[in-house]
Amino acid sequence: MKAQVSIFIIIAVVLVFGLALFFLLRPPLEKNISPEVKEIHDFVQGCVATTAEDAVYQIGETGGYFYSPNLSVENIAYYYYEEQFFVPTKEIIEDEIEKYIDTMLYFCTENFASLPQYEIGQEKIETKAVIDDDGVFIEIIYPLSIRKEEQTFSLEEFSYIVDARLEEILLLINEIEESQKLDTKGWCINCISNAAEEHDMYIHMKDYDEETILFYVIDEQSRVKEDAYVYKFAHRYEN
Amino acid sequence: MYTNLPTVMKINFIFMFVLFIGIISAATIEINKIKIDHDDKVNYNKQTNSFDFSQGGSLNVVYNGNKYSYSDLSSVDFKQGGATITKNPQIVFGSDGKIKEAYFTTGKDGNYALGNEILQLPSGTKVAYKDGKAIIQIPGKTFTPPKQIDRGNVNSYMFYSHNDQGIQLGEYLIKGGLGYEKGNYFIQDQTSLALADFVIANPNHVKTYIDFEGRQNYAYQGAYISFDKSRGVFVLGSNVNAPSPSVMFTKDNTYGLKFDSDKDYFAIRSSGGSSRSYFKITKSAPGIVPEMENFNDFWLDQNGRGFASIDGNLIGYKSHLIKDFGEHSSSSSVAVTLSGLYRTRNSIVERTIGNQVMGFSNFNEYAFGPNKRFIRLKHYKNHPAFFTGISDVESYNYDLTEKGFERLTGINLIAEDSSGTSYLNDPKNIRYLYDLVASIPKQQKNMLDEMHFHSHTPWAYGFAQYSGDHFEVHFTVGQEATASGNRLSAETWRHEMGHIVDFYGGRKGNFDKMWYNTGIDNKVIVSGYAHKNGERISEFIGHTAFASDSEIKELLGNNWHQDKIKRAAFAVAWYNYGFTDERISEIFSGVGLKYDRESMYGYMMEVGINIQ
Repeated sequence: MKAQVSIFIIIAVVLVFGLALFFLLRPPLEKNISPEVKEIHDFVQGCVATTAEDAVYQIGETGGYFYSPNLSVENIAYYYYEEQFFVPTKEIIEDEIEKYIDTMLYFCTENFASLPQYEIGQEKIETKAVIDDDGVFIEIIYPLSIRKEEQTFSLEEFSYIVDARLEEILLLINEIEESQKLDTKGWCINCISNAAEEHDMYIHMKDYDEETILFYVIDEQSRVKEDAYVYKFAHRYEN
Repeated sequence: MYTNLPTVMKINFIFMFVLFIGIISAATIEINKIKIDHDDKVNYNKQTNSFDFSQGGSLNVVYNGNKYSYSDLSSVDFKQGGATITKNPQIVFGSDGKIKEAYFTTGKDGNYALGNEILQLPSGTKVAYKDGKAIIQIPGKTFTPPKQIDRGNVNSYMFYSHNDQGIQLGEYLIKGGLGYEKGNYFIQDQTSLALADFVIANPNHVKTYIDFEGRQNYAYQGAYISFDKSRGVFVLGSNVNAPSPSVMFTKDNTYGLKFDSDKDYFAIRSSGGSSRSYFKITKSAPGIVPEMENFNDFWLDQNGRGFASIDGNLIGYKSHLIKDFGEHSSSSSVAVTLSGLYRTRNSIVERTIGNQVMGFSNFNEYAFGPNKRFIRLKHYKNHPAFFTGISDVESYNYDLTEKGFERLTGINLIAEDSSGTSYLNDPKNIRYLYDLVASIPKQQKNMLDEMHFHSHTPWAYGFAQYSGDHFEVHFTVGQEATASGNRLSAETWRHEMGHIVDFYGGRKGNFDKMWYNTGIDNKVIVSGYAHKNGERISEFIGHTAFASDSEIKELLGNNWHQDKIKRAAFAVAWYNYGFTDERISEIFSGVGLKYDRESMYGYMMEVGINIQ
């Protein structure tokens, strides 16, 4: 009798865990978009994709910033400036991506001027960016109230994944900056080369002036705006 | 009574007296069984075993039955190597019977013992010697190396010439002092010295041996410069815990370091240390830039940009690293390659940059790569898989001309009109053509005889043809070198070269049979254009030569492990020189397939092609 009870308990536990795993691991169901607003959803989703790609591209162009910091050259942030480090953390870069999208997405949707048949009210955009192993995950809360022929609809959540190995790039950059500590006046060439090889990326270093070197990390495995992803940053060495 | 002696007897008496006095004032001294005779003018101090020649006089000493005479000596008064020596003539013997200290100027030619060595010195030679170290100023420019008396210690000499006219070392005249020790020559006093085709800066006066062997030598107890102009080998090393002097090469050097501007600056220094170090430059075969090799740490300065190995790490600097020769800057650098070794703290010798070679171009660029013939440096814009880079081929660095390209590649460049002429007159375009050639296998390059350049070819971008006795490709070109767009793009080049491989027949003249008779042809249509007859092979090669891994996966699907035809297509194209080994390894590794020769032959076997 006791044994039978135990078997039932085990089956119950397995079922509970199985169901929990099923709900946790299943792919998210496509949101039920009303056909009346699918056009708007697709339009916004297109803008989200474009702006997210632009954001990650821009982040790469500036060394992790929406607006370049004061310590920059040609809008590229200095990560090492006369023996001091100014490398932004992953969290800062995520914030910058969020700022970019929060600001620039409106420029894509353009107050929905291209969709005059709808009366669309929009609220503040709130973006959450997560730099992850598998890409840059963008979750956007963009509350839209849509009115068409006396009917009212709402849209709010949008998301997109940018196919950029930004996490890997930041790890590579951290290794470069760590190797910078070997000699404050110069850069460790083989350390940079080895790190690039290890992360399967290319690094192109370009002289900007007598003191500044621009680093271009090129990742052919990433695809941002249909091209290999380039992430730039600068170092300045005191002569 | 005395007064009554005969006059003759008086004279004899005086003579005998003088003789007696003479005998008792001259002396023979014996130290450690070595006999030393001196006359009465030489003042002997028994306490110090020193002989003072202030009043002249002579001294003889016998070693191994040979007598060495010291007479007509005068004082020394000279300034050398930062030391001023003013001394009356003096010789001091040690307890072993050898001279341990001596100061004199020779009054006649002869052999002179100093310590355990015999030195042949001309009259007028100034000698200052103490405890195995001699400073010698000779009237001429040459000296005869000393000979040892027995197997004891040897001296260290520094030879100078009167008025610093220089001491001859081989074909070179060394001003400022030339050292000699145990059969080896060295310099030490000079802060700066021009020698052969280089300049030595030695502000710390590190003892630096010089020889003409052109090889590393761990026996020297100091730094060393070993060069052999006939072989074009230069070695700068240090076996002590001090860096070697810096060496700056001159434009007319014999090691292949090519300066295309008078402002070019190329200087090196070797670090020394407990594991010793050397830096070697070797002139390469004609047409190839010099090879450099380091063991342990070094400094290199190219036009005000420094490179150093520190604890085995290669560090780059934006500023001068070797400042001994003043400030230098130039828009061009000296093209060289570098590979090296270093000894780790646990005494293991490792390669500084793995199995890679570092290459420096003539354009202030550097990069690493496994193949120094073409080290991939950077992508062409918008074309990530097509590289420009650094090559150890001299022409790629210094001879970016039509003729240079033709000489190196064996491919004739023909301008069909003014656009073609303008294109070929631009060095950037010649470099681009080199890059194109570097992207194909050597055997594929050898199939091509001519490249023609037009403002507009009869076809949109280019075409390839066999003209009776030679193979040629034609391209539409603009003024700008470009890897993308409608002009001579990388794909256009590979596409047309795909035709050449096809026309030529690949490796053994049967490329077409391998391709068409096995069913490959219509299973790998990579573009709309490939549907056109005769374009399939060239489209396949042109498209996939530079495609990214994801593009290849997309083009050919993800079922590689099942699709033997697609595997075979790449293997057949590679076998017939459609792709470089490097490229085929990228393609197959990108989709997780083996790419060793056996596997490649296996893929072909799967479609019935048996390569034996």
